[in-house]
Amino acid sequence: MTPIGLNEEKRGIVTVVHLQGRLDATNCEVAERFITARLDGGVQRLVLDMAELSYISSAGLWVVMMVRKRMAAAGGTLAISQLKPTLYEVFKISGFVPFLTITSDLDTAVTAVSR
Amino acid sequence: MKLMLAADLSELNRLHAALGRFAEENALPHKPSYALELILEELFTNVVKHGLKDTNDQTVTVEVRYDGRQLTVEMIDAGRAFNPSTAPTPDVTADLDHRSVGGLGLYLVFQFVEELRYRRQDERNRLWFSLPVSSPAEAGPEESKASE
Repeated sequence: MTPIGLNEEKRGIVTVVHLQGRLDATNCEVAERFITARLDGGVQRLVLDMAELSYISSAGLWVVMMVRKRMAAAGGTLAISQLKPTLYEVFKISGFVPFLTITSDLDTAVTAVSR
Repeated sequence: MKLMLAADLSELNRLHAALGRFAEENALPHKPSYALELILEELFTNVVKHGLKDTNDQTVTVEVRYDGRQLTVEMIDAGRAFNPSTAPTPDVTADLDHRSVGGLGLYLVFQFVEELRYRRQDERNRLWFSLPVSSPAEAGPEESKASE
């Protein structure tokens, strides 16, 4: 499995999950389980911070899609922050950008899901 | 660079390491280097998950060449005949809540390659594709079309 860092941070009512490293077909299920465990625990306001994520493939986009579906069904709010330019391009090409709150800094993302 | 990969997703780590060395040796800019790895992950994952289920030869061969202007790649496997060009295109305008992720990987492949050819020969899938590289060094992510 490709190493990936998954760290949870609480900012008031908001949960931030910091993803570090690479999100690919070998570790996407681990990431998905880590994040959905938070949702199972009642998290309604979530930021996926990708400042230190250097690579994402369609397997990683699957994780984002699953989390977004789960949160939409539960009435939660989700934002993605600090995508590197190449990753942003992958989100854009895949048609994810119009359906997600994507911010260039973490504070804006935290504010966005707090509303 | 030539690599023989076993039909196991864990081989993506070896692919990543080899591509990293190749990019460094050839001073590849970040964007085509990223695109190359993404394309190969998507194609390899597809072959492992769908193509090589019940074949004796479980090897996927990947050969990457760089001539200073473009990357060309040949990928060969002995799995079920499959031409990626015939895969259905996903609707990337549909709301995420109504999408399935199927087909997105190959869709990404076709967004990044310049040309892709497929042929079935000697009971093997032979994929060939090219990927433009703007300049060998110092190219920013926004100038990928510069050398065309």
